[in-house]
Amino acid sequence: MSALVTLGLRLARAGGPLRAWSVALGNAFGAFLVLLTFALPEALYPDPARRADVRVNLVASLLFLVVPAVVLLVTVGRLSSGVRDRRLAALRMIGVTPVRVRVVAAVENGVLAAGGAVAGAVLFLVAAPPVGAAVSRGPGWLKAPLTLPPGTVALVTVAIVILSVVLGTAATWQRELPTAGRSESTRRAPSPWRLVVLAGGARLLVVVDRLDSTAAREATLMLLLVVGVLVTAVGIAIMTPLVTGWVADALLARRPSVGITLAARSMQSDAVGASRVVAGLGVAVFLITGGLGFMGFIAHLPHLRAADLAYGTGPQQIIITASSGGGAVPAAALDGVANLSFDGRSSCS
Amino acid sequence: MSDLVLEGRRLRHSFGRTRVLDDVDLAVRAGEIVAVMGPSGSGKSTLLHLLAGLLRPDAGEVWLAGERFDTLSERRRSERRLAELGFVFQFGDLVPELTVEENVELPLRLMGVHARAARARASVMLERLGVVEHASKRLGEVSGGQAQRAAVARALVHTPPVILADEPTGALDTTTGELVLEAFVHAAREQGTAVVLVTHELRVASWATRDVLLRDGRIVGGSAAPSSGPSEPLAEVAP
Repeated sequence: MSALVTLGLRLARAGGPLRAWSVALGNAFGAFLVLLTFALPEALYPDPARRADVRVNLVASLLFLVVPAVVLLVTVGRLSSGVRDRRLAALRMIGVTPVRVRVVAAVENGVLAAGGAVAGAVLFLVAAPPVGAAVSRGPGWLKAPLTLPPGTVALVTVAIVILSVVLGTAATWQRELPTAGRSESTRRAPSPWRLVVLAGGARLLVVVDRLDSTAAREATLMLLLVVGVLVTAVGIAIMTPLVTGWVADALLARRPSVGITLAARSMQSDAVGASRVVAGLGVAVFLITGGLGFMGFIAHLPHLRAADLAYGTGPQQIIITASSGGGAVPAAALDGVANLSFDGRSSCS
Repeated sequence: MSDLVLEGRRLRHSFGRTRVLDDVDLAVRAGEIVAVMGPSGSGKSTLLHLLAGLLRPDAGEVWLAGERFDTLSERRRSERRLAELGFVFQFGDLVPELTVEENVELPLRLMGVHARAARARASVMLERLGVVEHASKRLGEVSGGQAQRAAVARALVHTPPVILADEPTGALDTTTGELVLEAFVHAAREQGTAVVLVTHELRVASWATRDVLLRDGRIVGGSAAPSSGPSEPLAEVAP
């Protein structure tokens, strides 16, 4: 076994068994979540035409199930990253080339990620079909088996491992070589240019809001919406270090106590650290899912729901208001209307 | 001079607006032990990092074994650092997940030496430094002095022409510190290794064959150029 692989395997133990288990379990859960995301559309809507009808909802749902999975993968990939990064920096200093350091980091991260992702895939293959069948028999949300072809499962698993390795080794891509004692205390102030991304995303969402939805094509609207949401999410994530820097500056501005000074200086020295970006992603996901929840709530208000049914596949809901001087109109009066039925809750007045 | 192994010419470096080194020259020839001395913040460690190719100078040149070093690509500098330089830092900077023996053989393994041969050479070096009985222990299981001797063994195991040591005895007691310094003297005498030793301790500097005094990023004393005579420690050391 080559020295690099041995080293990578040994470094996988850095941070202790708790860290190793966390990374593996995080990848297992992430893989399971992503596979579920891929399987759900067909299970929910077996009819391709119907799937096409709800494409916007499906894309949005997939996106917002995948984003938390990515956040999870980033988070577990960066667990104990300070310890691991110091080890890799020490290797760089004795003369291990950047490419070889990346190999070590990839082995270190990949072995844990692969173990976890394979476990997640096996869990999906074993557990998803019976769970899907149970859901179909029970609430009846699923119209087809909750499953994926083995080839797709394998591809997704490999993609998860690659993503995990790339995210886990991100720190090794910085060009600057850390020198002993100096790297940890160097302040890297985040650039205000980060705000441009957020502004761009917000601007796109404003454009979507102001577009005449009757004239604009659905595909264009969807594209603008998805791109706008994604850019805004990235903007929020990368803005978090900037806000961190501002907060630290504000804390230091008025002769703070020793404790606050230490905290603020620590924030400044790691303002653009991965943990801040992950926190930013968390905020972005929280805001987006919150926004989606709000939109879902609005969409299910009775009159909008009725409009949606009337526009879509039905059945149409008709609300008839008769002004008859306050007297009740007998339901029998509508008997002559073809194909009209009452859902049992309705009353006519 | 033909046996110059490491040379910094008019090196200048700043961190932000702070000029740390200003037109510093230093030439080291094979078998020399050069002590770079100076107060804290005088630029000693920065000079060492520039010579090691860990930092690029803002101005000036670094030459390693007759070849311009600072302008090489990151990959080439890393390769030459691995093969031609050995490092010892104040706190060792070994990999705690590896055993003492694995740490020492690491440069050899990374250079492609077969595992068995690397293990044998590591054992010899650990024996020379008196820590062979701790070879199979993890770093957490040995003392600071033993770990530092392991770090010296790692720096010497592939017989590099240059050793760069940054306060190598700073965290050690006098006796252990002398063991480390003896190892440097042995390497300089027996293998012709050039040693650049950053320290602020006169006691440590007395083991050197030449010293250089830095203050505020400039050389203010000692001798930046090697003498042409034989290299002997400034204070004779016990064999």
